Amino acid sequence: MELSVDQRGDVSTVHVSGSVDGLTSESLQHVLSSEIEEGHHNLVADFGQVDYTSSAGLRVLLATLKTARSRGGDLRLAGPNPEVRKVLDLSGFTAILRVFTTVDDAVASFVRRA
Amino acid sequence: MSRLLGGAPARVLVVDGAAASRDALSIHVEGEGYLVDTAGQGGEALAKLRAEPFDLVLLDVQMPDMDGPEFLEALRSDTALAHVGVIVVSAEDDVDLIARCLESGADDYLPRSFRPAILRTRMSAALDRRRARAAESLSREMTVARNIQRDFLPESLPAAMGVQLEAVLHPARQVSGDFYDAFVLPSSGTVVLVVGDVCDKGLGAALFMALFRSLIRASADPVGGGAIQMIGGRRTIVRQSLEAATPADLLTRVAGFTNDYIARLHGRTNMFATVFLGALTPRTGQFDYVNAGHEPAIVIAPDGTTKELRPTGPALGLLPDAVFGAGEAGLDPGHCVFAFTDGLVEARNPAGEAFGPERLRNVLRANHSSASALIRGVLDALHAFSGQAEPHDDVTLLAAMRT
Repeated sequence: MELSVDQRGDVSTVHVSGSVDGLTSESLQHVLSSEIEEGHHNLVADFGQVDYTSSAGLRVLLATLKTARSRGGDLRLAGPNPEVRKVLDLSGFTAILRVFTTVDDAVASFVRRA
Repeated sequence: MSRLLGGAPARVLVVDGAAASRDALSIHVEGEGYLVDTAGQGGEALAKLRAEPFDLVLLDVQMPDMDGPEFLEALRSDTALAHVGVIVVSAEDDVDLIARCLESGADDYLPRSFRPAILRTRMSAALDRRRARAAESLSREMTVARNIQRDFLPESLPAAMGVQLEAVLHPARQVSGDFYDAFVLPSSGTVVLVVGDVCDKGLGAALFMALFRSLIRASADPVGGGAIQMIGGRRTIVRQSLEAATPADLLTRVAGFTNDYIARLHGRTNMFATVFLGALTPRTGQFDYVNAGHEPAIVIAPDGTTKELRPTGPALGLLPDAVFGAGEAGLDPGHCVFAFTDGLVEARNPAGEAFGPERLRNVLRANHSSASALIRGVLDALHAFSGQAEPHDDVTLLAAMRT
């Protein structure tokens, strides 16, 4: 799994590629938590290059969205592939997490609100 | 050469009252590829050991504030530091002091005029011994945990008129985040079936498996009518629900109660579980279910047609006040219902392909003569498919057939 972060306006996007599983989810959690600690509460997780996520990855998304919301921000997800989308739908995550087709849409959704 | 312990170089604390010999020793140890920190006094060394993890101490037998045996007594009486290895460094003629250090729990000793090769071998041997002891102790603890966890699964499946049940749980590690349950409600004869999968794996998931299973069982079938009443504002009077509710009402209340309990009381851990809850009334064949974010269970008719029982609500524990619906299916005699965890469909063969839902449906269609034939058929197909590939997740299967 590889991670990189970029900042557009007050929205931080964490680009993730590869598999998010029990081994790699810790580094994803670390990066997302650091963003929140630095005061970036509007977060987009770019899953466009994620081929698989286990429940450990979902747990990271849950933890991040709860923390971000408690500080007035949100976590939104961009570009999950159909397999990942299916896991999100089944487990009920799409009911609590806003999912967008592209990173641009996800970032723009914060701008419109502001 | 670097000595690896758990993927990272071992951390060594060099304790010596004399700066010159402390520095000389540190340079040697660093040259062997270890991470080194130093202390000039026994008290300072103990404080560092308590503050940060170390694997090994090289100990001057005579420090300004205490001698070797005193230091070792303090170290060994602290259970958090019991795993740290100690090699005493002393002059050749301190035979009595060396002997007392070894009696007090030192692993080995080195003469002050050591050769680098001797230092290397002694350190490496001490670390290996410590690592073996730690692994042995962890393995003992995990065996205890596994045996206790077994007690959170039903000892045997209930025998109910008109229903055949079969279940199996294969953990990928010593302990598992999967669980299943099956019990008969004494008031109505309804058979409740549960298959769940706590997020993530290992010990954390195993602790929550015990909690989820207990919450579900206790809220569906309170022992001796014990009532669990209020959790975070949601009124859940379980005994009343047992007497008055339909099976579908009971299942949605069990799901709501378990969800709120986890989300409110354990929200900080962000643990959740996908759970399939079913209630079969053997007399009528009525099958009610709540699927909380779980893999769809599958109904197999005698003619081999299948039907998926898809989610009726989110995984349990995500957020408080989630709403759970119920679904229903009629199980005529000869119909089976098969519930499982995603470790089955996500199992990989050595080529990296997933077992997948299509293969599963074909196996179910070919093996639905009884509940045990279903489980055996699926296990055989899974083993044939996975071959020598290591299981990456727990696999739980539960089958019920109406006879």
